[in-house]
Amino acid sequence: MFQRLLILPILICLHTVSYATESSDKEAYSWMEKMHRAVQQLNYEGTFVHLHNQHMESLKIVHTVDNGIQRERLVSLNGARREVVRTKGEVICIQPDIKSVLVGKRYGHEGIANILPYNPDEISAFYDFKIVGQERIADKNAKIILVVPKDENRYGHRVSLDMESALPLRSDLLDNSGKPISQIMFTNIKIGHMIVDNSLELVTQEELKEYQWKHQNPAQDMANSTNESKWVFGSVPDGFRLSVHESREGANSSLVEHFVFSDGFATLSVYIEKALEEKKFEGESQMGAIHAYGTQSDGFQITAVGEVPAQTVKKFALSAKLQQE
Amino acid sequence: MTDKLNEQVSALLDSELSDKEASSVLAQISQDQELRQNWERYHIIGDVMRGEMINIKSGDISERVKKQIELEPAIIAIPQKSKAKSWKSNWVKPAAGAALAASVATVVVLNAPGFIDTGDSAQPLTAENINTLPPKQFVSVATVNKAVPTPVSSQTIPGTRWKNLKEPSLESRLNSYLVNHSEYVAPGTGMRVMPYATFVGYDSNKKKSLK
Repeated sequence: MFQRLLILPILICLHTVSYATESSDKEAYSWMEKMHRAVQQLNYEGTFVHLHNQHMESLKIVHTVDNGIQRERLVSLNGARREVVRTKGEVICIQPDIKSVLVGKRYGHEGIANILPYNPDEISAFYDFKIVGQERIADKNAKIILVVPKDENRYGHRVSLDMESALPLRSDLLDNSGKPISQIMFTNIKIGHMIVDNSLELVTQEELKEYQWKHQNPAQDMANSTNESKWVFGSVPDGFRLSVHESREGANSSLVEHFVFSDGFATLSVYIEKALEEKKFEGESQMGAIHAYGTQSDGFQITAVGEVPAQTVKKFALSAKLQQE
Repeated sequence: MTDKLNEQVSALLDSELSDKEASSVLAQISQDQELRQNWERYHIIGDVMRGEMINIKSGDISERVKKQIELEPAIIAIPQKSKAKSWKSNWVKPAAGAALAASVATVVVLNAPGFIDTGDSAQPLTAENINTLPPKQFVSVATVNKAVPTPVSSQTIPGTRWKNLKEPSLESRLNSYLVNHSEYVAPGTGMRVMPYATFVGYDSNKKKSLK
């Protein structure tokens, strides 16, 4: 009897602990979902610092949504004057110091819209989500969420989300040992007010006419095309799904096929084009958090690249096989 | 503007002019608004026919060439590989102040977001030159490139920023892959804005390489 009495509270305790952990995970994940919506649906403007490779830069961002159409503008506040505008289906990069404008075309939708988070049950197989505290950033209270990968095929994130809007006030990419590889943090931000943002800051429309322009061929979305890919991907790390498949004309009028795989957080691309001897790339390469792996197969160059660990790009590059007809 | 000039513009696009003639036509193009528009139109027509990207050139070429001559390749810090520590020890403490590993984006930048380089030009699109030398990029679809006496083509770039890569042309390929890739990165995690942020904020250490 005495023993029973002792066990019961322990059981209750254990149950409570496990329940608390689970609900905290769910709450953490739901914050990430809120963030995902917030960055796309809210109006905001602010200044943030970007730390990478011991460099620090300060930038201004203006994000507006008008009738469901997003417009995002980034302006450099130190160093060379640069301005990037992203609108539906288009990225425009303006460099006043060299009077150039670059226009990149997308195929009618925003790429990121294709990459939606998994549902919590699915994604919990690959990541743990934890609320680990609170902090004050840009004069706002923020919840700190950790996104911890369960295997070494992906990196982690530590994001601090505004308690009111769920916008990421700070975002760190963490390597497999948990060290930050790259960090972004707002120093001030205004959220949810009306922003009229049709103009550019660094140049006038008039000046733009004098600039040199470079346009990019729009890519074709292969998902809706009858021209299906002959490529299949064999055994790839769990959790990664094909999000986008497009093709674009590359060098020598050859076709470059572009596959985007995502697990909801980590994203990597596989590019496949006709192999050229002088552009042969075999083996691995790395630049900071970005890894790349190249291999050749059936006369094609296969290159995987993304902000995932080395082993992940390698697995993807080696898994691509030409389907036998 | 004369028909002859228009013909020359057209010939320039087709690489049918000598270097001297080409320089002269380019000089006139840079002076003459109407000629510039024709140049643009010819280009677009040519590009549409070839299915290539559109390259339009205007402005002061000599100034750009001068800039190119003055360019020195920047020296880039090589990322230090961090020792693997347990996740937990790092997570609990805030990341501020922690040493930052080398990142990504420094290179991404340069290529200005979103472009697979469809031109297969001999001059590589690399971290070192793309930001400081975009003129060359734009001036060039092959034809113009030949026309402008750029000393740049002889410029060599020591190594690349991509580990294990020696070939600038390979690096250029990887850069454009990466830039196109960044368009599809999940929002909010920072990775999406990063390549653009770096492009936009790209800066001081590069400036130093310009005298």
